[in-house]
Amino acid sequence: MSEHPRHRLDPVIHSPIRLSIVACLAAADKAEFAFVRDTVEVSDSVLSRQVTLLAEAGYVNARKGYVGKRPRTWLSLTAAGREAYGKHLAALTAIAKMPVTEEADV
Amino acid sequence: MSGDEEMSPGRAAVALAGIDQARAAVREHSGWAGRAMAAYGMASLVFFPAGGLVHGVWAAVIGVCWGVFLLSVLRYALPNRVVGRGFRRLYLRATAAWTVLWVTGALIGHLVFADQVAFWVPAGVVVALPMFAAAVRAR
Repeated sequence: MSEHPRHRLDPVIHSPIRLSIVACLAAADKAEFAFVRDTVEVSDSVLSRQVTLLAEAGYVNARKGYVGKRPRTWLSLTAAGREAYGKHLAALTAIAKMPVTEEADV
Repeated sequence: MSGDEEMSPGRAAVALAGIDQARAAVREHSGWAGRAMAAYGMASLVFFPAGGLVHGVWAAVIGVCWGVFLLSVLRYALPNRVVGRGFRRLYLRATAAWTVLWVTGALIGHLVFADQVAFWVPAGVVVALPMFAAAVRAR
């Protein structure tokens, strides 16, 4: 019997907030911190903490810059982050396709 | 749902729905890139033929208008908060093709077809094509 797809879920991305952050960044080359905050619907401090965790895992890159005089932080997924997200997404899709009768065994 | 809870098919489906929502938000907010490329294409349709057919003071006016247009696009693009996936590569490719076509077209036009509307107007369409193609792909 093949391994249950839940074993392929990435423990770093598994948290709902981090999954939302990574999903948002996966659809973009880069996104501003405030855009991700608004999309994921979290506070600055929560996003900052989660981004730090993702950056420590090597999944997210945070780059500070300026537009005119306004400071901005741009977030992007690293190659490792994109790969981990792809595998996590595949595992989620496999789990979602499983018969509901197996749900109790998961 | 905490990260430690087991993942059931139902929860996986909810997570996938959340992912779709995030994708949709990014797509919605990265539409500016396609609009900017389309504007570049439209401007090329006007400014490339104008550059070959207009002389003297009006050529300087056209040059200033082109500069104002470029600054306007920059001013439009800078405040945007998200760059859609693949747009950076698409932009670089389109700009490279557009530059080659513009320089080649202008050289041929000035050397062989000076002041010939029958060359400059269709050539303007060709020059604009990479930007229109990029605008369509960026949507």
